[in-house]
Amino acid sequence: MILLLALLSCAGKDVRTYDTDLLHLGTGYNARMACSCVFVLGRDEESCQDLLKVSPDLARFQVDREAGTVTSKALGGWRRTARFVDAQVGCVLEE
Amino acid sequence: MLPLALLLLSTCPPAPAAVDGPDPAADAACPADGASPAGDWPHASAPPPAAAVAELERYLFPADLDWADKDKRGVRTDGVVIVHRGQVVYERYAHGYDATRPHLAWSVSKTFTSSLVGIAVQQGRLSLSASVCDLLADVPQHACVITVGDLLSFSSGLDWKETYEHDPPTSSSVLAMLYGEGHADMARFVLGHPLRDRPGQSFQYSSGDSNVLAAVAGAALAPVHGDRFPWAVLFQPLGMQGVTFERDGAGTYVGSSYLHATPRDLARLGQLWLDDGCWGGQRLLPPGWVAWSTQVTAGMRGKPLEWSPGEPVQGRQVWLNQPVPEQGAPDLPWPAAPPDTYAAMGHWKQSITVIPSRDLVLVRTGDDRDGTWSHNAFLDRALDLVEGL
Repeated sequence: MILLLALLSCAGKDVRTYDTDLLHLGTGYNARMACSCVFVLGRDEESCQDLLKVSPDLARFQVDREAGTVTSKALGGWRRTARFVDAQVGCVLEE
Repeated sequence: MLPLALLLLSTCPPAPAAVDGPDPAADAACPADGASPAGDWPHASAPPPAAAVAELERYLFPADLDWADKDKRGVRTDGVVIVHRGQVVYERYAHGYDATRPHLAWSVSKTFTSSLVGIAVQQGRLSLSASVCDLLADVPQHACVITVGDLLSFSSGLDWKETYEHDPPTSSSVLAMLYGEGHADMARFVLGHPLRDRPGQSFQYSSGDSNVLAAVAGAALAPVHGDRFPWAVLFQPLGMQGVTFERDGAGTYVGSSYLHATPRDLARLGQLWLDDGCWGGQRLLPPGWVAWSTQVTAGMRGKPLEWSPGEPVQGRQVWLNQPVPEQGAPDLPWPAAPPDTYAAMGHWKQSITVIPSRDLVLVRTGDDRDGTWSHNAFLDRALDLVEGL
C-alpha cells in the first residue's frame, strides 16, 4: 500500500498552481530588484529603471532613501515594498 | 532453523548502494602552485597580443552597440576579467561599471552555494547522505527522501518548472519562489512541491534545489559561524571585499540568485575551484569535491528534464563542457574550449569560466537579453588571447 502511494505521488498527479497574478509578481520583482540596484549597487534610479526592465513593463518604483525602502506600484492598487537591511545582506521583500 | 535463517537473509533487500560523493582516495594535499592573492589580483607584466585583444573586444564590446536601445539587442558586456596563471591579463568595464562596482551574479550564485555546502562537509558538519528532514524543521514527510547529494545534482525529483520572463509567469516555479508566494520562506516553499521522480533519478535544473541547499548550509554552519557564515567561511578567506548576499524573509540566503560581487571577486571563486578547493595552501572544499562536482550526473545521463542536446551539461551546481552521448549529445557544448572547461552561469549572461588545463579563469558580467551571446565565441577569442602568453 505504501509503495502504491509512493508510486502515485511520483506520477505527478498533483498539479501545482501558484498565486500568480502578474501584477503581484511584477511589483514584487520591481521593488526587490530596484531596492538592490539603488542601495546595493549604488546606481541612480534612471539606470536602475533600465537595468531591471522586463516585458511587459507594468510597474513603477519609488525610493525612500531615509527609510531605506523601495515601493513598487502598478495599476489596480498593486503595491509591494522591499527594505534595505545592510550592505552584507542587501534587500528583502517585505510582504 | 539455519536454512530458514538463510532463506530470510536471501530475501532481504540488497544493501543500499554506497553514497555518491567525492572519491575517498582523492589527494587531500593542496596544489603547490596555487594562486591565492592575499590582496588584489596581480597584473601580468606583459600585455597580451594586440591583434587578439582587438578580436576579443570586437566580440565583447561591439563599437556599434546602442546602449539606449529599448529592446537591449546585441552583446552587452558590463565587465570582463581574465586571470591566467594567477595574474590578470585582461580587464575591461562598460555601462557605468568599473573594478570596484559589484554586479548581480544571478545563477552564478549557485556555485557559491555549493561551495558553502562543500565547506560544511569539509568541516565535518554536514553529510551528503543526510536527509533534508535531518537538517531543516517542518519539512513535509514526502520530501524526507531527498538528500543533500540529490539537491547538489539537481535531482531532488521535486515537480519544478524553471522558467523566466519569456515564458508565461503563471506557471513559473522560480518567479513564484522569488517574487510570489514563496518569497518569505523559499526552502519551505520548494519542499512543499510534490515529487515527480524518485530523488537521484532525474535532472531538473532548479533554483529551488539551490535554495534548499542554502538552507542546509545555514543549518550546518550558522550555529558555529553565526548568521553571516558565508563571510566567515568563504568570502573573507578568499579576500572578497564587497560582497552582498541577499536573504529571503526567513533569513535563508537566496543561494540560487542574489549574490552581488565585483568581477575581480567572482574570479576568486573560479581560482578556488581551479586550485582544487584550496586557497593560500588551506583546504576549504573537501578533497575530490571539484572533480566530483564536475562529473556528469546519473540524472543528467538518465532523465534530463527541460534540457536539450547542445546546451551546456550540468554537474553539481556548475555547467560542464562534456558530451552526454546517452541523451543524443555526443559533442562538446563549447567546441572551441577543452573538455575540462566548466562554468558558473547566470541570467542575462553572467559567468565564471574555469579552464584548468590552461590555468585560466574568465569572468564576464553583462546585460544580454536577446540570445545573441555565444559562450563558445567568447571562449574561442579568450583562448586565442592567452595562447601566446
